[in-house]
Amino acid sequence: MYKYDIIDETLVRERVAQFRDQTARFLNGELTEDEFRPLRLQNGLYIQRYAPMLRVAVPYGMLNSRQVRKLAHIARTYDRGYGHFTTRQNIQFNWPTLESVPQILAELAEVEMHAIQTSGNCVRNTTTDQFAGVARDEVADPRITCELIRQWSTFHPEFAYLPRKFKIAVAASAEDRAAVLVHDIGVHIVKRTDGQIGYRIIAGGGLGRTPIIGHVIREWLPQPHLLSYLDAILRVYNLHGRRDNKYKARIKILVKELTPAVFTREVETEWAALDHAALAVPPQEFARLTAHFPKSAYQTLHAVDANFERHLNDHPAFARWAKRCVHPHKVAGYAAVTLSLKPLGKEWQAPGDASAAQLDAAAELADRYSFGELRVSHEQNLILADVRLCDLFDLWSQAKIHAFATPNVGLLTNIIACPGGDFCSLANAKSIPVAKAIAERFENLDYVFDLGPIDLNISGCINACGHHHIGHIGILGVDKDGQEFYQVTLGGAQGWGASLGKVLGPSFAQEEMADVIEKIIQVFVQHRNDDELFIDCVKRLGIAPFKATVYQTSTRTETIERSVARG
Amino acid sequence: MAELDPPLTHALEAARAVIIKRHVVADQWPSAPSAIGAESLLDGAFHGTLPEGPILVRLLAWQAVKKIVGSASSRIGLVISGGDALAGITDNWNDFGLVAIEFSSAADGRGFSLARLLRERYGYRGELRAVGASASGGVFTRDQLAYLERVGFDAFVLREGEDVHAALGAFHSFSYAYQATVQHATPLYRARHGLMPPHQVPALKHDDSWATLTSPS
Repeated sequence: MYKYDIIDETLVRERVAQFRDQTARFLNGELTEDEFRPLRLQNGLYIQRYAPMLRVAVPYGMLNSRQVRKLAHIARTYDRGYGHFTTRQNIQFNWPTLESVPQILAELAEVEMHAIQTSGNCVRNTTTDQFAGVARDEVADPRITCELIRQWSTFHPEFAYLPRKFKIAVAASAEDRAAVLVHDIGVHIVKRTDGQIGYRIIAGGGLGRTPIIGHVIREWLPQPHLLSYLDAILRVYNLHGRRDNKYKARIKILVKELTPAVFTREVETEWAALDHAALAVPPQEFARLTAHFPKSAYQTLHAVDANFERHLNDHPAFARWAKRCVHPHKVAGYAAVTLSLKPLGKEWQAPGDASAAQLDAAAELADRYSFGELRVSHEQNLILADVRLCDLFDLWSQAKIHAFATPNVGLLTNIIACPGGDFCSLANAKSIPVAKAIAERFENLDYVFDLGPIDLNISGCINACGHHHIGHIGILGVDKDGQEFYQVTLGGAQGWGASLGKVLGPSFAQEEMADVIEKIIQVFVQHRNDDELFIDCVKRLGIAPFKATVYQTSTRTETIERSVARG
Repeated sequence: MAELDPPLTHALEAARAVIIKRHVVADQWPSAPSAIGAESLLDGAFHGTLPEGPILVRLLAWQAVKKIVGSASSRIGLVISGGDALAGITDNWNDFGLVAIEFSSAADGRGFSLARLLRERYGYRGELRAVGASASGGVFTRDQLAYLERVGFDAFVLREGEDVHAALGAFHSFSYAYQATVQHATPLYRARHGLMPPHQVPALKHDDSWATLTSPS
């Protein structure tokens, strides 16, 4: 966990004072609504359907237990007792009052937290692998690069009023767990055969209205030059990105319209004109940042723990949880653990939601089992990154009490969903009731476990906060003449082999969605070869058999009849 | 351009107030909306001669105006818009008495990049003014001043109704900056380690805290 120094701390406190003054000037009429909007957005404050929504930054998903307790306190004191973890590793509160926001920010500053640049047309929170620093397959700890980018992007005066929002993700592993191919910039940390660490730079990816897989614009960038190269990309975008139409304003449209080759040339020309030596990040700074992530005090343990093995044998439910929620660690005798925020049955809650009591409990578990640290994954779960194998059984027993132990990570009911029409004023349709209906339909854990890994992602509108395009099954809320409908896509995937799902056909009514998903799963089960993965099966078969089954049956007829009945 | 004391603010009702190098002064230039554009030349409004005193010329009209006046001089201010390209306009930007970048709105961030380019790539050292496409010639409130200054602006016309004296406080909103900009040629990630030319002393409010930087807290 990065520890602030005097500069980081001073800047956050000064920001609180600045926004307190801005809010006061807005409330007394000195600032107009139009003038206040970008200021409040760059401080994480949206005006939503029912109330303001405050999005708090969790830089690259890292939290300590003190911060998590503060979030619990904020949920209790200023909200309705819960928070919502987002697909960009942040947390949002749905019910604060505008007047209370400066006070919330002051409280956050006490624990080195803030809402800086969590919204607005600026560089947003940088995201990364939830297993950063502990993953066996990484070439370097991506958090050092993330923190470097965090500082570079924080209050960057040239890039605070971009054509549109700007999202950067960093990955350093054989498996991409940060969706870097669908970000405005993806930074891939790579190691050359000579042992040198550098970056592969991807630009112009994104979801939303025009989903595009990013293009590699530079195969190798020496480590010291990352920030000057980012400056060059952002400057080209800031000067040439479209500002006439917000739906064509993201960098992906500029890259597409110029073509990746021409865009790359523009960036390279701009970069060549910068003073690389004067902007190079020196080795001392990488060392300083590394030192600001205090090392976890790992014990010397055996790679195999006899008690853990015994519990696996004795408790099938524990073994199943371990299979889904326990992940390999680079230190012998340790594992990373996902605390699922996607419980089922009577414990069900909206994907990514956590109550104040759960936040406190998670902080407690982090203190007891994982050096007091927690992470947020882009799949909206919590991670304890450093758990001893010998503690896993105890941890599981306690996680169950707080509804954190649903063994569904990576499975169909680990649904990613945006807040949707229940909260978000942009949404065309609700996400949460659809997630609920599907979770209820697939409550049988044995069945879901046997289906194997399936990503099901739901977005309430084309902005795609729920990443529906890269879900193996994607659900998109659409508006048809004021009615909420849902479009289904199949075959999307995240990771280095990222692909965009294909639309199955005409959209469905909300009450049909659980049936539709069930039929898709039936087709999979019928055609599946042995332990074939769902995504592989969809790629092998194409969408035709799924389409045939889903639309041939009565579901469709009923929809048409209902549409006719509605006139 | 004498600095005005706050009690003399009423004097600005006649002459527009502008912030130059963190001081409120009475403006010596015409307002940006009255800049000579391509249309006014086409109208033949000037019949081959130009008004006496300081004039503002839009970049698109500059080549035509240049034919009349011969060359840039200290009485000519050039007005640049967000979409303008800087390359090939002049070999010496410092011949102009003023360069103003006109923002179509406070959300139009292009001018922030243009300002840095003018300072860092085109070597412009004269007055660089942030103006706006409004009747008063300003779109910004105090809330953008610090960022504007960091990218190279040293003069500012604020939007109508903004209290220019109260606005001066906004230059002091933040004690540090992470990035290299016109204001801090050495980025913090180098300055922390003493990697800067000797003449560059970091502009910090808290000199005492600077000493703590080299040892991790």
